[in-house]
Amino acid sequence: MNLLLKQDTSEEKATFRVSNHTEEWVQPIYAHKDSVDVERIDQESTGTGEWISDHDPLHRIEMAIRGSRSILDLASDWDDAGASTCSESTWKRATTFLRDHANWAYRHQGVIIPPPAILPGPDGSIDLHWRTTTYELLVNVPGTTGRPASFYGDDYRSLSIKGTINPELPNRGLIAWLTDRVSEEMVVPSENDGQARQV
Amino acid sequence: MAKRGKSEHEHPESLRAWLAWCWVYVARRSTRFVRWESIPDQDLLFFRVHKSYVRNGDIIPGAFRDQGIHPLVRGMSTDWNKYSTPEESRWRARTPSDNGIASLDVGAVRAIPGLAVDHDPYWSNRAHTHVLGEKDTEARLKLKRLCRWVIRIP
Repeated sequence: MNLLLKQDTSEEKATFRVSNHTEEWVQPIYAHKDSVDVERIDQESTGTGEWISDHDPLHRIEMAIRGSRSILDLASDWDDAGASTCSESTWKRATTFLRDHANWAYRHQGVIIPPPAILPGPDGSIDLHWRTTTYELLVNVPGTTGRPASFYGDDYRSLSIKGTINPELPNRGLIAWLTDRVSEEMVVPSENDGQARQV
Repeated sequence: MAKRGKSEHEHPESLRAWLAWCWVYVARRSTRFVRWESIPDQDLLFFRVHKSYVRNGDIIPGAFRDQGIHPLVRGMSTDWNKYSTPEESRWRARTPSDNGIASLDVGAVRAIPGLAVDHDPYWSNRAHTHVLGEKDTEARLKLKRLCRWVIRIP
């Protein structure tokens, strides 16, 4: 999946396009011509050499993916206890999984999921870790192709989700759980009157 | 000698190496100098955390993983507070200054589905204890929440 921002100078608007294999979806994002802060993502970071913008709703996800590439720089035995290195194919599977799910949540539910911490996991795997004050979710993308990704999340109380999924395909159940938690987090109790308010 | 098939949990080396590991395991367990003991729920385990597993002062879930290549001696290594201080646990690391020590409550670890705490002493470390069981995403998240820093990484 590719993210591409095009700047149309004649109409002073930016166009955000998401290409997902066969289908294409275009949503205009209006911005002042001078305020559009476009940032080049180098060829090695995404493999696409394309552009993203602060106005891209999934900008933070892309930045997290970009920053996570340093996982590939870890040498063998990087924890002094025999930890395995993470392969580029595993990193690509994990980041594609994240992009696909973030795009699906935005396109179908209008929710921008927050960027997770993208971390080295056990045995050359990669962990995607969301942690907020109201929920925590851990997704593990294994270092071996063909094996399912596993996940566990809860709201620190009784509500939890756990299972295994195909990392190649967006999982609606997992997205629904995550977007529900994100939506809940947008409503926090007011300190003054004890009633919920939108932030 | 019949050729051994390889499964996910099977050690890939030869039968001779496998038997050697069995001998090490039995020797460690059967020595009269280092007796196996039952660990009470109210005790603590000291868990060594390498600096690579710390982000913004917090331990990342990837820190909780099994070590050891043989299934019989594979587990998450910790030290029982009955026979070790946090400082001693830290000094067992290859580079002590790169490691911190977190404590885990034994009863709380046993309460995590699928995990068990097993004293696994050997000659040079009577405190050595394994946390056994699959370190899946649920176990790792819950272990992370249980950890309390005893010695932070400088």
